[in-house]
Amino acid sequence: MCKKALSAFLIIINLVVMTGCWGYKEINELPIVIGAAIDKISKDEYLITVEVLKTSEIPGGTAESKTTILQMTGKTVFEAIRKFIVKNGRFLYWANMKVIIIGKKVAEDEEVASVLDLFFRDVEIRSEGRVIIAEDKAADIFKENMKKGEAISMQILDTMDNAKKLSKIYPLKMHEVIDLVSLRGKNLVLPILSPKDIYKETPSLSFKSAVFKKNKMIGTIIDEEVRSYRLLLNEEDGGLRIEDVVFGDENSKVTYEIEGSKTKIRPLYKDGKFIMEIDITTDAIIAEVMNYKLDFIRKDVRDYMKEQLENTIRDNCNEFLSKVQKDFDSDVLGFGELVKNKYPKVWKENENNWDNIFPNITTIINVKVNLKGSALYSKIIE
Amino acid sequence: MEELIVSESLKENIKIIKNLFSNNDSIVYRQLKSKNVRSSYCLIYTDGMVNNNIINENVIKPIMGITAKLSEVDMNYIDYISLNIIEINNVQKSKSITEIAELIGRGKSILFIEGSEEALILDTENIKERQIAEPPSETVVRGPRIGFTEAINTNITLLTKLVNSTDLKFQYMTVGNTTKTKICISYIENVASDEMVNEVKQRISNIDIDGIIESYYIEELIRDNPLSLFKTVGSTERPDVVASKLLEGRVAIICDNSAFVLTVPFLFIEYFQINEDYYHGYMFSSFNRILRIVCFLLTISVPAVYIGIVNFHHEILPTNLYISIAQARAGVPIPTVIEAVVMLTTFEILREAGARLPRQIGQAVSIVGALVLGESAVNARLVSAPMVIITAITGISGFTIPNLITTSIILRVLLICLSTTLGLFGYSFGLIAISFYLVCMTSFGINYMEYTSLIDRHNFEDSVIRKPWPYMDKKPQLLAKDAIRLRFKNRRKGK
Repeated sequence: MCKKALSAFLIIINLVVMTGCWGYKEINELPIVIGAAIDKISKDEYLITVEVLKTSEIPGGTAESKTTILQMTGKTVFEAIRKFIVKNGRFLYWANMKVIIIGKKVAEDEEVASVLDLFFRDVEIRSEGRVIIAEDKAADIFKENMKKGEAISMQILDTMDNAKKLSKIYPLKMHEVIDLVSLRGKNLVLPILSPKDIYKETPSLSFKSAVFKKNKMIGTIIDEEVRSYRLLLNEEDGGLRIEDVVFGDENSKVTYEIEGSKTKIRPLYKDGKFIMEIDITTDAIIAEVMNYKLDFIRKDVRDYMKEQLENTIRDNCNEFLSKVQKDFDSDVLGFGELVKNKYPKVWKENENNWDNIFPNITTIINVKVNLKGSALYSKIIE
Repeated sequence: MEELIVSESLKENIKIIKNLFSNNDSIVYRQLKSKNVRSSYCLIYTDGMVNNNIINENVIKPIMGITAKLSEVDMNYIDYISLNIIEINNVQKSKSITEIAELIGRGKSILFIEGSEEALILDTENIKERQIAEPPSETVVRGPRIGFTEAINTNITLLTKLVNSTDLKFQYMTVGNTTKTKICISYIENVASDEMVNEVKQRISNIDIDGIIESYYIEELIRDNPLSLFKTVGSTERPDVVASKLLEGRVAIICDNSAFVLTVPFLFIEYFQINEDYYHGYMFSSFNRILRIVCFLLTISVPAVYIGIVNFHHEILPTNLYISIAQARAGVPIPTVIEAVVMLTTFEILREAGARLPRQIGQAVSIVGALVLGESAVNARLVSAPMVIITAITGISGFTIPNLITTSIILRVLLICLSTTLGLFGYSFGLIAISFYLVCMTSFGINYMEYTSLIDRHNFEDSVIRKPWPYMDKKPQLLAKDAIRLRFKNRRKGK
């Protein structure tokens, strides 16, 4: 009996001790970091800028509360983070970090994975945050906000999440970034933000993304190129395409709303050469016709419009492909991974030589556009 | 103690009785003589417990009017009195003074006759009892509005009215060395298993206590785990509940002076089976039953889970929820645990205060309660708003299963302690321990978690959901000998 009780006691104690969860922390005593920016200011000094929610000062405030910006330098990211205790008086709580912005200098110095290492390694941090490259210094995005005190990270997060309707931003989460960096047959593309874009200083807006080769940022792609990138990744969910339709005497600007696209890339290996067959099927709706004389109900007009759209898409894709193949030599579409899955042996032979093979891969693009209709109004408006 | 018996001498008998009831002025000794030569009588009863009219008209008057000579009586004189003279429906003979003494206390009148070695027991009982009324503890929207009273006879009547069968058995026992409380064991023969009935009888006869004031005494004295948090003996104020349990093969224990009838065995699922489930549509009933089960889980877990999350596992919370909880907590000086304990204790205080107060004062409690547990406490920054909601959910969920309130308070405190020290891990340990404990329990030889521990078709029928009546063709198999509830031919098939 005594033995039984003793062993039961020991088991229970073990269960309790081995849970590894002893930290009793009151929820309101943890300053919540919702966004962080990492810059490199000298050879081995990093500047960390964090956006922290002020919870303790607002009784009954809403979730859209004010934030403070804190900055700290350190030899490593972790050192800087620990030093924040002095600035803030408390441990920062990182689990809810939504956005992590990396300065351009860090990205260009082959250090994206290095600075993200801590966030990925640490138990407390959820690797859910979107990774973004700053157009210049990452801290600027938060610095602008010091006066207004609005939660800018939340705004960036919403922008990233809703950007799929534009198809010109392709945001990645922290764990996706880490996965991509460690792949050999696929390279990283991350969205670029500048303070100008967020603070609405100019009415015009351009969508840029940074193209990486491994850890190193080697160039940028803009607008339609980002769009083609998403399309080729089979990630185009929407967005608009504008065409100048010239048919007979009439010409009109027509806006197509993309309902969704399906892209399939099939790698072929023949006679020591790689060929990528790319099939794209796009569903589009005629959303805006700026000249009512264009009779798009007619079959020949429709066929013409369809063909024109197919050509534009094909041209855009070709342009994008030649840029990444010839200019950047960065396999952002993961051709290498596709080859690896289909021809594992061939991939093993060519793995180390991929950088030389990639620019010379032939791509065949087949585009099919389905014009699904003309929204709520079937006739031309006269 | 030496058994006292009725002697031939009237004087002697009166002396013995007077001796027994010494210093008891409520006993009336009425000496009588009839017109014939021989006899003198003594009528003994407790003042106020008998119907004076019956005694005057049907006992005293006929006896005084006896004119027959002794020689004319061709039978035992006491039989002659009982058969020819006394105009009362129920007359018995007894020799035992002990029995006689007990019956005086039950409202019977005792007639001693000079020269007879027996006494007549006359059923003149007229004890004031409460009207049959709807039981306040178990009100229903639909269903019989009838409840047990404190009189055992009335309760038996109510049951017989519901189950008019020769198989319905009532067996009397007496418990309580001083109070001599009458107890009746009731069951349906051929449905209830004999072992069960014998077991109940056995356990009741083993009770050796001075007095039984309420049937709860018996409940605690016969149950399997006397110290357990969970009941293993059911109790109800409603005849319909008892009748349906008898039909499922359970045994009922009716106790005099108590409006609560006990039923055994009591399984865990019976906490959630309410009589109204069977009087309403099966969908509504099933929904309500699931709701009750969920509420039980809520009432024991909500504070513990909240404390676990807020103090240990912040990562579980979505950012926006995190922020709103953090903001609500901002400025509250006390830790979440203390906050929870204070609020829950306040809630229990209010509940207890409300339960004992007369209705007129009760309103004050609810107003104060609304203030203490609501807006003001939050505005004063003594507690956070989420904690008020947590307390409300906890308290209100608990009220859906009134029988489980005590149990859930204790389980709740246990889980709060565990989750305060170990977070959600502690909470899960607690739940696991409770499940182990429940599974290990038995009630009169039946597993306590029967019909709930295994997921299969039959177990499902009347546990988590309530099957439609046309399809509830089986009784709980372990309890009932005759398991068929509904013959298949009676089932009407819709198109």
